[in-house]
Amino acid sequence: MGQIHTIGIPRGLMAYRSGVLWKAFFEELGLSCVISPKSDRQILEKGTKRAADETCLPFKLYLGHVESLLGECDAIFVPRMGGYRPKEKMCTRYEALPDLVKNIFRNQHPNILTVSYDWYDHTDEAKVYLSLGAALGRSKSESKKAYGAARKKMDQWMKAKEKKQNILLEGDGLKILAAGHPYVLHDPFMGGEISRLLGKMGATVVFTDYVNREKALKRSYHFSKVMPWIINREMTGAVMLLRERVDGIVLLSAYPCGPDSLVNDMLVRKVKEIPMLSLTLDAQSGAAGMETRVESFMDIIRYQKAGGYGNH
Amino acid sequence: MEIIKIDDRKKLAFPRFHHYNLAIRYIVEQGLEQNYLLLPEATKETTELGSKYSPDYACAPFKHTLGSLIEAVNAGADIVIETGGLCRLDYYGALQREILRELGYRCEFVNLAEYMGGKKKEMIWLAKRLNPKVNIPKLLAAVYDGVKMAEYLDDIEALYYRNAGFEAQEGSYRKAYRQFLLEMQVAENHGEIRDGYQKAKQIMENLELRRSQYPVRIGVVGEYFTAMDAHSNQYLQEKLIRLGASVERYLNVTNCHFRAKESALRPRIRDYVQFNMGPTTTWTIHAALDYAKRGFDGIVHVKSFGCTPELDAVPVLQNISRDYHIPVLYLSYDTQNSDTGLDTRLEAFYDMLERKKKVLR
Repeated sequence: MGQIHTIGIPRGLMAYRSGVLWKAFFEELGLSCVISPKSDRQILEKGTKRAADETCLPFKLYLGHVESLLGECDAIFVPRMGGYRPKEKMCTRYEALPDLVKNIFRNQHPNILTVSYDWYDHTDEAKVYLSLGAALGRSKSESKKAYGAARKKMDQWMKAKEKKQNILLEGDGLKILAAGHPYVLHDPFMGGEISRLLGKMGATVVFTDYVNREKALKRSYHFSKVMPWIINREMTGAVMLLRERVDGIVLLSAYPCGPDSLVNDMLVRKVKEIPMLSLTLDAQSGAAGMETRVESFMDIIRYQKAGGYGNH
Repeated sequence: MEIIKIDDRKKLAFPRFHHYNLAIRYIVEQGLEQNYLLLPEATKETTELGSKYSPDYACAPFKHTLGSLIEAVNAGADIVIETGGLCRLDYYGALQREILRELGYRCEFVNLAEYMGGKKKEMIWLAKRLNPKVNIPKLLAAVYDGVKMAEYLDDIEALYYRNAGFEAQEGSYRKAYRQFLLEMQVAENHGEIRDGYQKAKQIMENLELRRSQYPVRIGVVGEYFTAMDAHSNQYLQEKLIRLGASVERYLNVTNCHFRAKESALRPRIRDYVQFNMGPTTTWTIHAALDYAKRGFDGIVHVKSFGCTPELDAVPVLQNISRDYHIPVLYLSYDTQNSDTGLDTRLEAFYDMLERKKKVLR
């Protein structure tokens, strides 16, 4: 892979969690990045045509993003992420991602840039980025330097988000915690719509992925010792950390997410002291159905706060 | 020697999983020296019971195993065991324990996901939890025999599905197969397991067959639990052999755990796949490619609805299907399947394969 100058990053899945790191790393190496446009109906339609019917909504959108990058860059970055530890894995779809994209876009012959790591490889993030640099033909010291700078940038970005969210949590008003995978929460086509609705109804929306990741991860072991997924760990850990500081929780999940199908059920069983709304988003639903449910949820919280249901 | 009173023994149970409960029974009774609660064949009620208390879009195996566990506790199990795995399966135990507890059952629940490190110390600790007086060498010997039994079960089953569709005397294969299962159910030592296997193999191989010159051959691939467990896939393989096909399924416990390693299989599918795509995806793709290369007439891909790793095998299977001109029937199971619906689809698939074969010949 000698002559790669521009790298395409599909704006989907883990780009919402680590995208800043990826982009900074490539730019530090002197490459330019093309990021696909924000999700919309067209991108979903493109992706739906490619994907098997039963696959989850975020994956369909991801395929749409990949398609919109075809011909726009020299290589598309599709990492294979297995997670770093046995109890902090990723959903198996991330293990399959590069091979999936290659098989689905076989006739378009896209150039896929990938890096692979798995929990049984006993590796860490720094090593993974070294091998990614090597795949781009960069020396060890160049990659190391680029990774260091990128990591710093990522940490700054994360800290800024945490800080901003803390100010929101200190403020007055009705606070609703949106809980879910980062790419569901922040994709304008999925969680973005729900946040907009909540905001319109006067709530301050805070997110589970804008909480310190290490703290949330640690806290999640109080919730479950055996839960194998890191994203669900960060999500449940953040719920545990914030549940006393918010007035309600909206669990957002995309249909049919494997990990969420079990973990969200467990959350509803275990976290009882706070109003919780569980929303499952799929490709068909318009915002109208959601609007009714969010509205009634907000009404219940307001009514309860005003002393309804014999609380006071 | 200390004589254990029958009453002292605890009743252990494991969710139904195809015919492997027979091997688990052997290990529990001969190795751990506890009682094993062998559940009868699953019924529609098992499935209904399981889906009633499961989250809506949990996968079908979750519902089947939960149904089994509830039935086991109702039948008096003291300790129920749930396994862990590499996908959602790893979280089955945690959630099922919670569901059983909320339903008010007070049995002991052993979640193997907690012991998945596979360290020797942990395994011994687990054995001691199941029986404090466990005799470790005896347990190891029983595990060895149990593994052997699982291999024999898979071997005889493979023979059955390969040939039973062509038996000259109706029911002769079934009879030998059932007799074999019965013997495995009561086997108490290494010799009985081996004898039962050899007898069954001999009987089956001597049965008269009326095989057509070019029988339709179908390969079954798919998700670990649903592809293997006959009740979960609505006796798919039995239905196919009744239509007159010879059916093979590479995916079984023997080939998954005792023989083929993922890293050894993957080089054979490198035209399609570079990395390990998930728990059983490599087996699925490898088997499908193998069937295609060996000139099978069709492939049936079996999975539960929403099974992520197997869904990710679908695009690869589609490419194999195109490259080798082999039809693939995709079956996705949830817990509300109609038997007739499946029959119609299988008949149509089989007829198409048969006709294609005639035209090409």
